[in-house]
Amino acid sequence: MNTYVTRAAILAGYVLIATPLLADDLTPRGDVTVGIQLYRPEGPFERDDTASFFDKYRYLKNKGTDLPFFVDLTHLDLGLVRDDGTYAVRLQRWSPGWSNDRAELEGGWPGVSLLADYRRYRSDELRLFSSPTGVGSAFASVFNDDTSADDRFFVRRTSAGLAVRVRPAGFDHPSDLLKELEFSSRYEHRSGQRQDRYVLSGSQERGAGGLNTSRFRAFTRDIDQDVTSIGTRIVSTPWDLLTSAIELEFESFRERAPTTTLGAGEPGSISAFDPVGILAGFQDPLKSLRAFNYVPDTDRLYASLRVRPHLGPVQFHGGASVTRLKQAGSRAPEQIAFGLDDNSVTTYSIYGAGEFPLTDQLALNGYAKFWKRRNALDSGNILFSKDQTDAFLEQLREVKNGLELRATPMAGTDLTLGYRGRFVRRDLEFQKSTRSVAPEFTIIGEDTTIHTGYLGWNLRLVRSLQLSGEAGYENGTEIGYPRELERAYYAKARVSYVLPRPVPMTLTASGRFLDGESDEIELLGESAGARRKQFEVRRWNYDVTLTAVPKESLVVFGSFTQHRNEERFAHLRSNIRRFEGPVPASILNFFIDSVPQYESDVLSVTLGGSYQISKTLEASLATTVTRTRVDIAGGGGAARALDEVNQIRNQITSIECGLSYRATRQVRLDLGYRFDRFHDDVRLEALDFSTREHTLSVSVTMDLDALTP
Amino acid sequence: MGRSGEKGDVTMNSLTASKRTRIATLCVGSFVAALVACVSVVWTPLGPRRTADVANAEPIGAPVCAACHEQVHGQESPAPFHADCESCHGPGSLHAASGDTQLIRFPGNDDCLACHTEGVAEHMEWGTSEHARAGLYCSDCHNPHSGEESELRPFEQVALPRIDLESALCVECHRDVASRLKFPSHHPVAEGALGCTSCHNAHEDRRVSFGDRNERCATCHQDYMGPWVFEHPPVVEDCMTCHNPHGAVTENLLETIQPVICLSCHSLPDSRHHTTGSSGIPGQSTISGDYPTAPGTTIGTQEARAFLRRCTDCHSAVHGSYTDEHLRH
Repeated sequence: MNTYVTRAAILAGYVLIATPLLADDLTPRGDVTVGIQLYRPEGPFERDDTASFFDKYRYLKNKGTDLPFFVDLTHLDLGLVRDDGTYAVRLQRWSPGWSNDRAELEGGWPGVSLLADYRRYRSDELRLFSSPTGVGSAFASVFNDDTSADDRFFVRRTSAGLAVRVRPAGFDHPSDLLKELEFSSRYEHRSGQRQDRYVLSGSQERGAGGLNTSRFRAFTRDIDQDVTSIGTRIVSTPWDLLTSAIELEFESFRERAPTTTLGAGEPGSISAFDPVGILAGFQDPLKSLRAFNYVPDTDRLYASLRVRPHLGPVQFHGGASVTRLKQAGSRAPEQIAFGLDDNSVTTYSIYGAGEFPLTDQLALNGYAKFWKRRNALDSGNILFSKDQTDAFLEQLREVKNGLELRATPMAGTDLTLGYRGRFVRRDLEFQKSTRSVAPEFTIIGEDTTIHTGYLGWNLRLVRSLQLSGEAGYENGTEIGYPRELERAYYAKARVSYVLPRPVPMTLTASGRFLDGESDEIELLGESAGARRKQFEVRRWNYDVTLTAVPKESLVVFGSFTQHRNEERFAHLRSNIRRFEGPVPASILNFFIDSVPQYESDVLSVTLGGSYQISKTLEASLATTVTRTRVDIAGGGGAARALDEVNQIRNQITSIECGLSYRATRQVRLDLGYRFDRFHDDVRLEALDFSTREHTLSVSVTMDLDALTP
Repeated sequence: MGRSGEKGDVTMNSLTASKRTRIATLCVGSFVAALVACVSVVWTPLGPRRTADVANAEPIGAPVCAACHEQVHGQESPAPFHADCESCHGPGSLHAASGDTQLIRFPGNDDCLACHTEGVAEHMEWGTSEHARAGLYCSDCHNPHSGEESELRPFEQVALPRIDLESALCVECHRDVASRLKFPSHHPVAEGALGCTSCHNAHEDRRVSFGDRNERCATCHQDYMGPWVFEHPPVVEDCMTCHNPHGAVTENLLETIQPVICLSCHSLPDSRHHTTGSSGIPGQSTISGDYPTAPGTTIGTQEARAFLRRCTDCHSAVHGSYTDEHLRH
């Protein structure tokens, strides 16, 4: 969508709504900021065909030119205000950079309110694999791109939405049965390119003369997706006994980009752009239908009902919902060939939650929720049953519940003793094909049962000091996956303290801690016995933030955070593949290859301040540094290999300074400089993404309030 | 941690008790230090927040309030729709006479909801919501004395330069999330493309949200949701089995880097990723015993290469596939 057309459309919409209102006694309010940003990227990523670390989130157009720049109305706020201070209509727009802007248009009249919004954002992917296979570093030259070596991979999302809410009471027709009626709709278009990576398997797909080193391939694929949704909500308060909300929503998702198949040389097939002839002689007509990363078109239908009875001091609400996600539109070529009908998944939810005061100082809080997911896949169809190896999850049922007893011994203070339960039942189907994994070799459990007991506290003894937190223990008597925890301790706490004198300051600190383990999932070898998928995790983080005002004109601040994640697990190897056993000729056994210990550590420091030099001039300076380290230790071959190639050492540094000058009552000038640096200290030079970027910004803000008499 | 003995068990004793003790000591010490700091300095306690009516007080009118309260939370003139102080704070005669903060009431959540009935459906779960149970008042987030949203404190602007104002308010308390938004991989909240409320509803009871967490992710990531012919069960159950939506140390918001996160569940067959058959470690035979009893031989580049090739480079349809049971494409 042309961005200038979009901007004009947004303004035209505002003028269309606002102009008739000017006759009413409304006062204009708002501000307009015009800004220009000049960029100076450094390093090997200053080319347009390569995304740098910062381009992932902040796309920079024309960065290959001598002085890339961005100029726009970076902020726009246009409103018409009534005498009581409320907005009749308001348009806001933010545009912090290229391909990153959003706008909101709000209108409010008796009985009707309107909200329209528009968003646009582009994100890029770092490109890791571009060298031809077998050339360059043994580690980095892994994937070919069979279509282009110079493509950037990105997705640009452009969306617009509209919601209109009608309240009959505003038209002097109050109705308990129709308190509010809301219509909403939304459209989003996604465009861009992605790198689809794949590996050719088997001699047939490799073709005659194909080498193993040519198996790892990729191609550039377009993204062309449309998402359209419409919905409605009806809110009622019949006889003021309860409040109910009925919601209905329909969403359509369509991928317009053509499907790429393995093919036999026809357009749109892998074999059509086979650069080295590895697919020459490819003959299998069924395998030629295989679609690469096929994305199904879907329709999603959602309906829900929520109810909150008006029970005085008792708080209660409950509801039910159903969501059906159904394949629609296109079908995968293999799916057509095998006659597999459209797929669908349906989920159901029912819940109730309430809080019941027992005395002035005691309350009981409880909840229960049932959730079910059913996959209606025709698992008897040969497309599925000929290849299915692991368990098929036909149905999933989950119950979550909890009960809390909360005591409030004094105002602002409460203590909670609570219990949470989670129960999952998975209906797994095995043995759909001759290549199926036997139940004793699967890593999925049928049931998960986890009980958690905890103690919580919120202390607002005085308004200067707030303490809150929770500590508990999880006991998983059954787990479904190796990373689910059987036993875990956790705690989290937060403290906030305001010191009014001698130096006004606010100190906040918080922390979280989790230590857990599990070893219930067991792989039963045929002659070597069982091996457990042991997993241990310890995660903790904390932060401290201080803001102080030593002088009325000076604000200083600092924060420090650390996040740490430690995981240890038994890395298991088997002599043959899991679905190859048990047969008399093949004895499947599992062994512990190694015990990798993964550690990630992220530290972040922010320091800065602002100083009011004079009534019209303010200066600010701030810096932040985030350092990330990842190591994998532990004995055994795999752990050492993992550490060799997967270490992370990087540092993100930003420094920003600015001057803000109020030239007149209406006009403010801002001048800023920002330096961003990403330093990548990896062992493998080919993966080094170090880059630096300088940004100079100038903006002028016009205050519309001051223009009004 | 640190079990051994039974055949097949792993001895995991690196995370030693002494290290655990150090961490516990650090946590407890920090907490005690904070408490000591709090009680050892001279403060001006403001007292608990009173929400009950003050008996025998009489209305005095907003101009009388303004005589002392020239500014209210930095606002020289509260928005006209909230300009009648006593509508929310109750009669102020006793407070005006004495200046005692215990003789004026502060509005509770019910006071706000008595007038703000529009959008009532958004507040249906408020009574049992996380924020309500944490003791928050409406005015902890909404400023009733201003028609404008609160401003972002300046120190966040350098690290989260383009964050929207609502999200800036959230991260004032949710500091752990704020710091994750600075991680090398994160949802673009700091860049202003998304806000906290894009995924979260501050008024809801998250424990009983409809559907599952995946349905929330599906509102933007439909192309990962299927329905598929070949599924990856943990993906079906919870995206957050592998992803941390606020921020992660590695690409694609993975909580733990590849292939570690994959290997922590999956076993690998020798004939495909290790020794025999196709690519493997030259000179290493098929595994026949546990580490450390039967340690592996020297690492070969083939295995290292397999580990550098992230699992999803070959198993690229990790979220689900219509073609391949091994989720390769």
